[in-house]
Amino acid sequence: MSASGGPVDMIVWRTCPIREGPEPGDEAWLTGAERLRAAAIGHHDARTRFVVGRALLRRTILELRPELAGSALSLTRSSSGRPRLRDHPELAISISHTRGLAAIAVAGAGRVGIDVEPRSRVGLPPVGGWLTPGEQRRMRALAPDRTRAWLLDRWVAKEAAIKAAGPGHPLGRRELEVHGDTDGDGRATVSGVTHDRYVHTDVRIESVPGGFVVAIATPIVTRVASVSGRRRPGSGRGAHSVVRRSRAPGP
Amino acid sequence: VTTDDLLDLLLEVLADIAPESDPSEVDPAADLRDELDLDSMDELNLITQVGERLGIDIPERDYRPMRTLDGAVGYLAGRLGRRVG
Repeated sequence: MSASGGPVDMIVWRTCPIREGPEPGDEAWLTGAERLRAAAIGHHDARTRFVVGRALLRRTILELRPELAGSALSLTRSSSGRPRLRDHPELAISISHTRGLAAIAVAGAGRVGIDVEPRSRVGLPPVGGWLTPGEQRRMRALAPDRTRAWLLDRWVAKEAAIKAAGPGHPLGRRELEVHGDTDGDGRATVSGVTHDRYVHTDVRIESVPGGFVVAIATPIVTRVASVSGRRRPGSGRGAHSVVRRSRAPGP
Repeated sequence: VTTDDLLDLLLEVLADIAPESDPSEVDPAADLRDELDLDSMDELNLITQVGERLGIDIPERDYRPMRTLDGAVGYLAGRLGRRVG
């Protein structure tokens, strides 16, 4: 398992291997409603991922906020669909599963997004569906043996950034650009502009033992411009205001 | 094109994306991510392939109804309009 945190807006993230079934004790972390939901999930692997993920979530929350031990830690969804604790909505939560690994990020405040994929992943979607034109040009200039890792880094970075931005996020994958060549580990930013919104997200990308790559994202600044025409960040035009600012995860 | 044709197309693409599963056994109202163990990359592959086969571009804001068979058939029928009999 891995962890990362900073002195301000602390974020804890954890990964946990998913094997043939839940580990002994995992189900004890689930609420009654979650046990019913798990029983209704048709696919065995999806059910295992759900149980392992919820157990990992509670362990991660207690690592960040040990004083909550003994609390119900009931998970619900905000009006925008974001997962949160019913009694502690100030905590930001993000959950990601892939075949063989669950990943959780919990932030003491603000927003966070996490995504994980196996390095061995095959069948990536056609790049025209999720890379910007600029990213497609950069991809074509890469050495062939670097392409797969480069693409996976971009995928997890965008997925984590979209989760951090939230379900009401106006930008799609084709409109978000990842800046920085991370080569499996490192820092990048993900940004994009719509007619009234500027999204800028700090992303940390790390390799995880077992052959996985994980990205943890926190929004740095989201600017809302005046709605009368396109505004570029830093253009000095329009009535920009900072909605929120948060510190990226990291030592 | 009929709604049955759309369902057949979805099942065919899903069988390619999740070959270890039997999509025809899936509850049409259930979340495909839970029923077939799909993740976000599988979801985009499904949407891209279905869009290409039907000759339509499915924008990201429309991905949510594609998460169930019923929702996907309804959405695609609406997009195809008069082409669905």
